[in-house]
This record gives sequence, structure tokens and C-alpha cells, in this order.
Amino acid sequence: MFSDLSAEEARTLITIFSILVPALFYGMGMMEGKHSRTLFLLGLVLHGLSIIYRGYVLGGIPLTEKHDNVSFMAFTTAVVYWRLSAADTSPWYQVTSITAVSLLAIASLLFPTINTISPFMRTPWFTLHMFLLYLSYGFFGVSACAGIAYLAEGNADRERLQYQLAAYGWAVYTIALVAGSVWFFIAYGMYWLWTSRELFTTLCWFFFGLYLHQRYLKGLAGRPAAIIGLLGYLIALFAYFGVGTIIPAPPVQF
Amino acid sequence: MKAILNFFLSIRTAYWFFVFFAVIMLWGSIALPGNLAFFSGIDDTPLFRWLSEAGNIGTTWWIYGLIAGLGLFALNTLVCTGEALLFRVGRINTIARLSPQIMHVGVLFVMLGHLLTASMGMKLDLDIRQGETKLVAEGAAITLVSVREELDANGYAVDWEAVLRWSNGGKTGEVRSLRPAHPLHMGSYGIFSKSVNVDNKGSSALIRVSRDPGAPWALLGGVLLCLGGAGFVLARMNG
Repeated sequence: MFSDLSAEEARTLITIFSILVPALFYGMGMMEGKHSRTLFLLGLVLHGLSIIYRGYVLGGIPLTEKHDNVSFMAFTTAVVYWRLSAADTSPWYQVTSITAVSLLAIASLLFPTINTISPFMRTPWFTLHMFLLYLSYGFFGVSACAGIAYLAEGNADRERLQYQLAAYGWAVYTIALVAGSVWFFIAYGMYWLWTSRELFTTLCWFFFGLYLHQRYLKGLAGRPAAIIGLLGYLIALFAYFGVGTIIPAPPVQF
Repeated sequence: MKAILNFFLSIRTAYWFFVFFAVIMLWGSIALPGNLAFFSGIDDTPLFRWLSEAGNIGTTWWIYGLIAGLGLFALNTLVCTGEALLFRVGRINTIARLSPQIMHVGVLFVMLGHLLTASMGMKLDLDIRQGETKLVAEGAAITLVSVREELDANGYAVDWEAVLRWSNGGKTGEVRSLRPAHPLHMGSYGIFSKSVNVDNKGSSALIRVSRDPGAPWALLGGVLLCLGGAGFVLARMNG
């Protein structure tokens, strides 16, 4: 049956399975019992291998198009969750984090794989920008899940975790934006563009800045701040998935 | 006077600035694609000149709002940072605790960079055919010597090169190779490769020439933002 497939079709099939199988193991991480972390870790390792496979097919670091970017976003969210999951066994935190990781991994399959890297993207600044950007999404994602757990359970430790992870994410996001500006200047001779994508990306930075300040304001800390932090992640997701689909962002002629 | 100072020192003021910017950015991200033809030249012209030529305040008000807000935010940042450095530095026991102020100074430099770019920047796109010479500015000119393009199996460009000769004030300079994302710097100008067209009838290259006096300041601000961001995380790791 598989012998009829072209090389391109075979690569697509491998890509689909290399996402679905880790997503399955991630999901099994929700099971009760001592093996749940091991199963999640297995998903993480398989996911890592799938990213390496995409890099092999692409002939470069696979952070240049939507399929690979969303897959990497899921991977960083999984890594951040995994790093903290031993210390925090809140069911809300666990279920929301694993659901987010699995959904993001599967969402990567909504986008076709592209096996060409634009010459504008072949610079370390671009790679650094993308790597840090999706790492920050990982922090923001798990932060939002900790926020949901706090809102559901009222445990102040979760609120603190939400804030800390958002602070890490914001710092990494800041460096990602700076690296992105340097890349854009090297590639196109400008470090800012007036497009809805750039504005939404900056909006996201301001919004998390707002959340990090809000926590120190009397009357706005606690639950209202947690909701703002959660909204921040939704804005970050919208900046990636919504701009260009719901809000039009036509390609810029450089 | 004290009331004004307290207003600019307040974290609540900074918070409401963030709210204001978030709302303005949201409005702008919807207004831009809604008026695509109107905003089409905004990235090709220094912002202040574009605003004065564009008119139509009903469509551009949010950019004026953003500029005014950023001006007040700069004042807020300046006052907060000054107060922190003058009166609180003695109580700061680690460099990490200075990080918010480093970030504030970074924001100020980024704003200065944008201000200089918006008022004194210059961008020029040149479509040059092979062998042709085009004037850039102030007696400087570029000649396109040759073009090379590398395609993958599917016909997508994976690399290209435009070989240029730079001449200034009648003196012919060295021949240099320009590739995508590998700009050249000639005098105060940056030269960027946008695309090439390799054709039997005559090859050509689309080249951007820019002068951006704000870029070094924005970069300095970016570096400070990164340093401050790293310190900010360190300072809050335990709380």
C-alpha cells in the first residue's frame, strides 16, 4: 500500500504520525498513577525526534513556517510543564496544561509542511527570534494553565506560579522581539513595520506588562490579575493564529 | 507640582498607560487592514512626513494618540527611574533589583530610536538592470555588475547575489557582493538586497538603500531591555 506513495507523500505521512503519536502520549500523561509522568516524557522525547526529523527534511532549523512553529510551540509548552509537573500535582493545572500541549501539537497538522527556507530567514538572528518567541509562548501557556488552576481552586501558590511563569515569558518575549527587530533590519533595512501583525505582537508585550504591573495594585491583584494574565495568553494565541485569518494581514511587499 | 510628580511616580499611572497602549494597538491592528490603500505608503516614508502628507485625521488619530501616549509614558518612565536611582538605590542590595530601571531606560532609548527614524530616516528602492548605474544621494551611485540566483528543485530561490560597484564623488569604490539578509554598509547608508531577476534578456536587482539614524539607539534600547528583562526575572524568581 505504502509503495505507491511519492517521496513527498511519504514525508507528509511520517510528519502526521510523528505528531499524532507524541500527542497520544501527552494525553496519557493525564492518567492517574506513577506512570503518567513517564508517558508524558515519552511523548516529549518522540516530539523532539519529530522536530529533528523536520530539520533533516528541511535542511535547517525547523522554525520557518507555521506547521513547524506550532509544533515547536507545543514542544516548549510541554517542556515547561514537564519541568514543573513533579512539584505541582493540581488536577486543574495538570489537565489544562496537557490539554493545551496536545491541542497545540495537533493544531500544527492544520498547516501544510513547507520544505524550503527563504534566504531572508537563513540568519542566526531569525532563528534566535523564533526560538525565543515560541519559548515565551511555552511560558505564557503554562502560566495561563496555572491561572486557571488558581481561579478554580483558589490556591495562592498557583497564582504565584502564574505570575512567575508570565514574568519569565515576558523577559524571553522581550529578547525575542529585540532579536526579531535586528533580523528584520538586517534583512529589509527597517526594524518596525506598520502592519496588524506587528501591532498585535506589540499589544501582546504591553498586555503582559500590564498584567505584571497589575499584580502590585491594591484592588486589582488576585483574581482580576489572574484573569488578565489568562487573557494575555489568549491575545498571544490570537496574535499568532488570528492575525492573518480573522484580522486580515496581507503580505507586505518589501 | 507634588501632585504632578506623584502622578508620574505612581505604578497605577504606568498601569493605565499599558491599558491605553493595548487599546490603541488593538484599534490600529484593525484600522490598518481596513484602510489598506490609505496606509500603503506608511512604511516607505519617515512617519512624521507621512503623517503630514496623509492628512485625514479621522483615520490616523490613533497614531497621534500613540505618539502622545508614548511621550507621556517616557515622562512617567523618566520620573520613576530618576526617583528610584536617587532615593532607593541605597536600599537595593543586588544589581538584579535595578533591572526595572534598566528596562525603563531601554524603553526610552527605543522611543528615541523611533523618534529619530520617524523624523530623519530615509528609504529608497532601486530597480537596477545589469550594467546600469543609479544615483543614491549626495553624489553617491551604485552600479550593478552582475547577478546570480540559486534555485531549489521546485524552482524556489534559496539564495542570490548582486555584485555592486559603489562610487562616491567621482571616485570609483570597490566591488562588493550583496546577498539577502547580508547588508552592506557604505558611508552612512545601508544597502539591502530585496530580490533579483535573472533573465536572458537582462538581469536586474531590486535594492533598498536606507539611512536610519534611529537604529543604533533602538538597538541600544533593545540591549538594555534584554539585560533588564533578565534581571527582572532573576529578581522575581522567589516571589
